[in-house]
Amino acid sequence: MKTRIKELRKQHRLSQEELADAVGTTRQTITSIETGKYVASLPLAYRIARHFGLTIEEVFVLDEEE
Amino acid sequence: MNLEAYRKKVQRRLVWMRLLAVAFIVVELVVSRFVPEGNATNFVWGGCIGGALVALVILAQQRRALKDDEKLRKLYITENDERKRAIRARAGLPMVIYLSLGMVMTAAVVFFFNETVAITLALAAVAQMLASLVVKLVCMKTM
Repeated sequence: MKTRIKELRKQHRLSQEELADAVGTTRQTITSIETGKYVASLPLAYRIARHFGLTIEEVFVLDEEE
Repeated sequence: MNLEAYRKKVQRRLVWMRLLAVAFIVVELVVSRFVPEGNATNFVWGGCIGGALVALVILAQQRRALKDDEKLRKLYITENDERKRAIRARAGLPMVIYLSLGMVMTAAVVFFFNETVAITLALAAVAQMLASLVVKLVCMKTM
């Protein structure tokens, strides 16, 4: 799963800690999602997308090879 | 996030921790007063002091969080973080802790009858907790 979280965070001038706080998770989880080590659950993906005012598909991109 | 419901949960946990700490101290006092000193009483004494200390540390940590909403919110997020939950599940937690505690308590009783069996039980409990810790550390790196 590829994500645009890092790019969106930069656009909104948010740190990982601030985003984590806003969506109710930890900074380490945001780091893991950004680096592709961890795939966010549907509720968390929804909260992240909603925080940026986007849909889940606009933030998370399914890697076809997966 | 329902902070009020979580606050009540932490308050209930504090009551249990207080009871646990008192129970450990009472058991330690009873054993040291009424049972002749030996390896078994030393094992029980060590276990009780360790258990009471862990209960008191958790008690202090959670009491501090109860006094500050921001700390309580952080504690809630840390406890309910989905990645941490996934890591804990892979490491077999909390079942490994419950099982190990059960084995250590059984070992404490068995120690009065058969030292070899008790030490084997206690070592098995420590080994499974270490295995769980290793899995947890590996998952924290890879997840």
